[in-house]
Amino acid sequence: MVQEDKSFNETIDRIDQIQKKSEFEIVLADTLKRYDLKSLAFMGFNIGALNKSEPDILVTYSQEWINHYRASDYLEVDPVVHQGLKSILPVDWSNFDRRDSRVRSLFNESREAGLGNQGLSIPVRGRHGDMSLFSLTCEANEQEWSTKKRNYIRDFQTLAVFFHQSVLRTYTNSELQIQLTPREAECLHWAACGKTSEETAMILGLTRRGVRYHIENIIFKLNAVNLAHAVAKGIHFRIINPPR
Amino acid sequence: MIILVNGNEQADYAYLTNKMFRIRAKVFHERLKWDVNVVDGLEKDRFDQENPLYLISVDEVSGNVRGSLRLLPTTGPNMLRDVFPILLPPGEVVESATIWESSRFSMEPGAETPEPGRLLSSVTGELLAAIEEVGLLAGLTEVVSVFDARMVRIFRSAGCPALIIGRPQRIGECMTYAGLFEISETARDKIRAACGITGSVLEPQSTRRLFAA
Repeated sequence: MVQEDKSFNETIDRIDQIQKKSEFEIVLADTLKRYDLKSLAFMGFNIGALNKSEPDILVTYSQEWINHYRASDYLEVDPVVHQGLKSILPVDWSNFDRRDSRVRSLFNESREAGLGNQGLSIPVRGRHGDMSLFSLTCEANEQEWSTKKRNYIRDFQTLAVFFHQSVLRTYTNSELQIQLTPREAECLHWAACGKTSEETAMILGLTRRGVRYHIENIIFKLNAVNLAHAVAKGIHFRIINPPR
Repeated sequence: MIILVNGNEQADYAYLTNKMFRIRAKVFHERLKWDVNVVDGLEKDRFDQENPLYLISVDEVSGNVRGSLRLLPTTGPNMLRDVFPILLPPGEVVESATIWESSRFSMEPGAETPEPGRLLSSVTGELLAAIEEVGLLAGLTEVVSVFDARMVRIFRSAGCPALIIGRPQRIGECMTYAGLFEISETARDKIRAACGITGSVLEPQSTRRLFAA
């Protein structure tokens, strides 16, 4: 029990400290080991940009399996996704209806790709229409599973929310950070200091039209409605840091 | 027995959910005179659009709906944060992966009267026991709820006093509280004992369908 708590607390800390996108896979791999799992998968919806059509996916399994899953259009029939997003309740994969032949091949092939025979998915709901599904698989017979499942639900209900928030924080930040060119960042900085485009043009040695062009791009890239909105977002996401 | 229904399955379970919304209109609009929105005799609010989980008490013999409540995760939109933040000290929120919010606890007028020799009616007991069961299945530690004085008495009789958080406020005619309920096997057993319930109150098929328990 003490060992389990330690594992849990360390995993929480790791997830909470994630700064960059590249760290997620390492943390997932760590968590996999700690909890003796076969796979872990995070699927996020409406993270970062609202109404984005593709979910954000972070997984521990191979790119081959992802490619095969896509090529076979398994998303259409995957009960994990369909059932998992329906409810706020965790979902145990052992109760899925597997009479459909495509569903059967999905699960059989997933075993070949290294996923476990037991699976569990935990839905997470955020405040602004963002949601995610955190899924794990492990190897266990039915008896072992009923005990393991309870422990997994207890820990992963919390881990999944931390992971979701970590993705939310990292994605909304870094996506914006990498988008602006140095010149655009400069124009935004001077706008935040109260300069007009004419003044900014003078400071930076650009034409007024050049500055306007940059500003239009900034507004577009930050998904802002006007320059004031872009300045607010720029400060919020720490792209610029104008003097107080 | 308790049937579990997802908010987004209302169309598939129209009979049950319409009965539920009708009872809610009778309780919250007609009896308690809360400022709620009733259309065609059905009481619904914006949280019903957030795909909550409904726990609906159904009479095993007649099939009649007797009462219900709804659960929402506190990580998403919920009433305490979005409607009643005044009940908590400024800046404080209840937001936890293992705390869900229960709201719209209600039953058919008359069904709250305890049967002879009992402290709580069977519907009340069933709903409270169901919260514990679902909470345990979902790995929760607590359920938070906004409630009035009438509910405080009910919870006490059920052997599950709420831990009142924040400061009670007079809202409309009622003193209103925010409270936390422990989710545990001990709490579940206490409620069962106080209400004369033996075994699970969840209807197995709906539980299996949703949670895949």
